Amino acid sequence: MSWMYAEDLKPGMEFRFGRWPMTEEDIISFAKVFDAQPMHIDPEAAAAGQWGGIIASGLHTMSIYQSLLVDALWNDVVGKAGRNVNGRLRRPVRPGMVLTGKATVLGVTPRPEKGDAILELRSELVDEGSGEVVCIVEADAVLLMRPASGAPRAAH
Amino acid sequence: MLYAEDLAPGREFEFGSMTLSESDIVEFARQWDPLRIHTDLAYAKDGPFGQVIASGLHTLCVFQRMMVDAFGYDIAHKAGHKLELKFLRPVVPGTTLSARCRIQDLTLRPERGDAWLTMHSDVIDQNDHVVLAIGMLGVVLMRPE
Repeated sequence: MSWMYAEDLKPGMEFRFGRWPMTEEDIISFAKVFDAQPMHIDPEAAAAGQWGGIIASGLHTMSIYQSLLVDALWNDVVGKAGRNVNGRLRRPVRPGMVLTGKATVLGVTPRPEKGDAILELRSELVDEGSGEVVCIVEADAVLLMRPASGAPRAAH
Repeated sequence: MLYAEDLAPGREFEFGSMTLSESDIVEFARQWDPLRIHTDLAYAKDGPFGQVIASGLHTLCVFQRMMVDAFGYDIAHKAGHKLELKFLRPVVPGTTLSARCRIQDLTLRPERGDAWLTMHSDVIDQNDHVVLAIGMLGVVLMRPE
């Protein structure tokens, strides 16, 4: 496959995410390392709490977003650096859900003087079963523009 | 236990000290952000930083870990709704991270027994450079009657 540069991305392009099944075991093991709050790690306390059971750490959901986005898009893009990420957690993520979704290109603003471009992306993570959006992430990143020679950069 | 009433705007907290090794950085990124700049030592050596850099997500997760370590469940936290992240500097192996948080705004909702909380956090390195700025809007519980 060929690498994508900023010129290859146009507003409205969509990149479909794969599927990510959520298990209670995974939710607990992620949260034990990074976000050890009872609603994420303690099934009994969580069952008695406001959500009625274990829910995923928002950071776990954001990590799954990033992993799905790497597979769907970033792996194929030359030279990129994240700048800003805005995440909104819309609904609790529970064991048994399967997360999927898509990323949509909102805009690409070239900076020819720097040989790069700012990419704006909007991603939705969706619970496959209900179709409900659980998380929305808007992000921008710096991408390289295609070198004049057409030769791939040493960076890749 | 800290409740909404304890989180007055202007209040500041400093906490944490965690050093990220090269293997911490690679291991996290292999799982969650498998880009070569985070996972491939030989590739990163020839790149702009001369070594791997941590996934921004890793820095965020370490921040949360330091916050939970510092406060445990002492903040009656209900839900995080919104995160605004600005990645300002690369985090290289050997960086020691800590954090500073400032309560910016608090809006009590007595009818619901909770409050909207707006907090700004800076994740800083051992040279006091901000590597990640975090804006957070969340809901915290009010003290039970």
